[in-house]
Amino acid sequence: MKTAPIALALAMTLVGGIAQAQTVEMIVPFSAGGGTDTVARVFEPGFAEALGRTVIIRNVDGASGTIGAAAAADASADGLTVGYLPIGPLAIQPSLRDTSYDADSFDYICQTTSTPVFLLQKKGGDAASVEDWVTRGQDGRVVYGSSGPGTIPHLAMAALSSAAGLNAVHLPFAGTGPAMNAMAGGEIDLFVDTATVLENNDVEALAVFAPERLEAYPDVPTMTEAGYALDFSVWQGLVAPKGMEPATLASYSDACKAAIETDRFEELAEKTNTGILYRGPEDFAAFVSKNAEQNRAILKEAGLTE
Amino acid sequence: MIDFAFLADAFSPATLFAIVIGTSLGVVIGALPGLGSVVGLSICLPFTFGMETVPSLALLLGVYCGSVYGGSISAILINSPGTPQSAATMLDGYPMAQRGEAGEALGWSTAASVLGGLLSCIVLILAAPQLARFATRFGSVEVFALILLALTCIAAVSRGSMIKGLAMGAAGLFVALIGTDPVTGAARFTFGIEFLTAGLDLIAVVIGLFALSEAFSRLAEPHGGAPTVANARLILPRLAAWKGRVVNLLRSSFIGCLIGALPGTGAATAAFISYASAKQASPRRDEFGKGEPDGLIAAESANNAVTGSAMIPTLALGIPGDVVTAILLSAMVVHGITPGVRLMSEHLDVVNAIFVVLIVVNIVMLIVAFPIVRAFGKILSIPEPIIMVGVIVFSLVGAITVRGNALDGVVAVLFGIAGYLLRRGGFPLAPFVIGLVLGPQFEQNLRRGLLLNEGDILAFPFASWIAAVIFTLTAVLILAGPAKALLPKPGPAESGRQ
Repeated sequence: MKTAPIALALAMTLVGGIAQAQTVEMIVPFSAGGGTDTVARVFEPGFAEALGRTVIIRNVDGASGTIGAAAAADASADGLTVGYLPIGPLAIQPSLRDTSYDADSFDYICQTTSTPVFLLQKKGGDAASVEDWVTRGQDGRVVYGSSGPGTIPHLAMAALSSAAGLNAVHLPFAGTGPAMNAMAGGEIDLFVDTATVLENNDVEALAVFAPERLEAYPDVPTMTEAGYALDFSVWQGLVAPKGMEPATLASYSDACKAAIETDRFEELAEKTNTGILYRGPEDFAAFVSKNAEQNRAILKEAGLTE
Repeated sequence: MIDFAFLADAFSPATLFAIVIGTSLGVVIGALPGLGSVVGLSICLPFTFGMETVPSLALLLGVYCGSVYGGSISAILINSPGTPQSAATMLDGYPMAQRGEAGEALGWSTAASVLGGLLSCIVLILAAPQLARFATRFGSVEVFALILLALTCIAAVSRGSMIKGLAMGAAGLFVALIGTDPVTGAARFTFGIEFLTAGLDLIAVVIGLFALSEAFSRLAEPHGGAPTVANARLILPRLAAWKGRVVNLLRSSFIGCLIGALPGTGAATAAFISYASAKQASPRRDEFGKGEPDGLIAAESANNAVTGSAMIPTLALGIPGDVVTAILLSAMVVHGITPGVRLMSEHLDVVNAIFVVLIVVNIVMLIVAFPIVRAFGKILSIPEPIIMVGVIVFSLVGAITVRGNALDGVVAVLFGIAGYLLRRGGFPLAPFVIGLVLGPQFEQNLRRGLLLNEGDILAFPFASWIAAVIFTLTAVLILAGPAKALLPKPGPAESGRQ
């Protein structure tokens, strides 16, 4: 009597397992509904179609994306598991903590997006430029928020603080939402994030962390113009566990390129102010390694790593 | 002049169909131990991509509100909250069911849920922009004060031994520390295990502690444990029974509305705070924990009031307060609506449709509750070992699904064994969950407050009038118990159980 339900449960698992065998699993290291997940879910149909296979998204959330990235690194390199990973777990977290993987644990399929970030303040504040905040930070103190330690908002502000010699207090929040609430309430002075955050909240941009002004925001000066040559962006890309067949890697890379060229993906990118940027396997690998190096130096400077 | 064109969208067949499906699904998902709001929404999110905007939001809102209510069904019938939000419902719901009043308990929780939900819709419609602006005045110090106030409710839910209750609360706070330091990003209490850097998942722990340990005790002592309540029917409370309870309903709903409007706090916190304050205020406070409808009203109206008011920061400021609202916002993005401060001005039709949908969802919830409760009652009349095996399977599936990690199943089993032993030792489990739910908020806000005030915690009460008021209230609550015990007893307030 007691064994019947157990046998049934086992049988269902088995049937489910067989049905899943030929589908490609795409690990997204954050929960459903997050920024990375939203883009991944629009990327997936185009990728699946170009590949001619079913692709299923699996959200493996936790520890700033490192649990999901570790799951992608640990999977078998048979092409049935890929990871859709953003900058954090790929190029920041491995320097910040002991992750079981590092940049060498992956084969790089393609980069999909790259979105520059802005220096933001509450709309209608009395400061009007980067210079104002630098003066204020050198004389007194400035408080900046982030969506957690070791995120791009944190790194970009930490880099600016040390470049300009600011007396800055860093307040980490559990995500952009609570941080924007704190900015609306006046608890934090500055925040760094993408155009989406700029557009959706009562904030204004003081500068963009990019070498040149953006076409969409011609009035926003660059950090370089303010005297600090800082370049930060958030990006995402598709990776596979190390050791994938070169032919499979090439076909996945082609499918990825096709996916980001679909109307659907371009539409979402436009709506969410995400910059589309394709880099092939070799370029992407080189970019990640360079980016990780830069972030490691900032984390060291900010006293977060040795 | 209000343009009522949005009503066409809100009452289209597709929307109504989505509401009925979503709400029913939500109630069932909420009632199954292990599957909660987030899992339900993640399951439904991909389906919304092919739907129109308003029906897809209706589906998600139905699942959300339904699941917050649904958790109370299993809390009452099998002493396991279907979702963490319903942990407080169990405190009085299950004792009522044990007395043979399962139908009445379900009736109270259903009525309180629906009324709490409707009241929060009214607050949302009338005062969203004002409340959203007020909520932004809660900085780190103010939220810390609020969490401290909430922690005093551990005393209210410690049945039997106060020392055991406080010990469990402290243990819950400690378990919340496992994972990653929120300020430095360093791993702590992880013993080099990478999985632990993510911290323990609340849902996995709650499932283990309540659902699995309940199943273990019943399987261990087949006839020694409490009887399962079979064939329960939902019996709505009569109007006369509400006498003396309306104030409780209003206060609890108001607490739910306020807490829901603060980004990142949530329904479980609201239910516990409301339960504690109801216990302070109720004339029947000594009956709390023994099956008092006031306790059910407090917990269920507050957690369902959060569903409406969680939309306040989301719709008025575009700030998602939690994972649930983040999923709703992402569904909007996919449909070409940019959430944000201008949502109400640029997409008023969608916002108005959301208001109407929320109201309809709460009414539909009342209707679908009857057949679903009936079905659960029928299921519970099959032999208990089979039900318990089912509870175990669902619990494990639920625990694993939340973060997509099989190790969360192991965590649930370990906490199931711990919960079983703690129950046998007479330790109350609710304080542990309170500590665990509030722990991360407590720590993050405390540490941000310390960073802002250069390490001076004594400066906290002077940060703002809001902080001063909440800290004073907390001090009064903590000192009231001992003071009552020391002073000569003035009249009826004799039972200073603290």
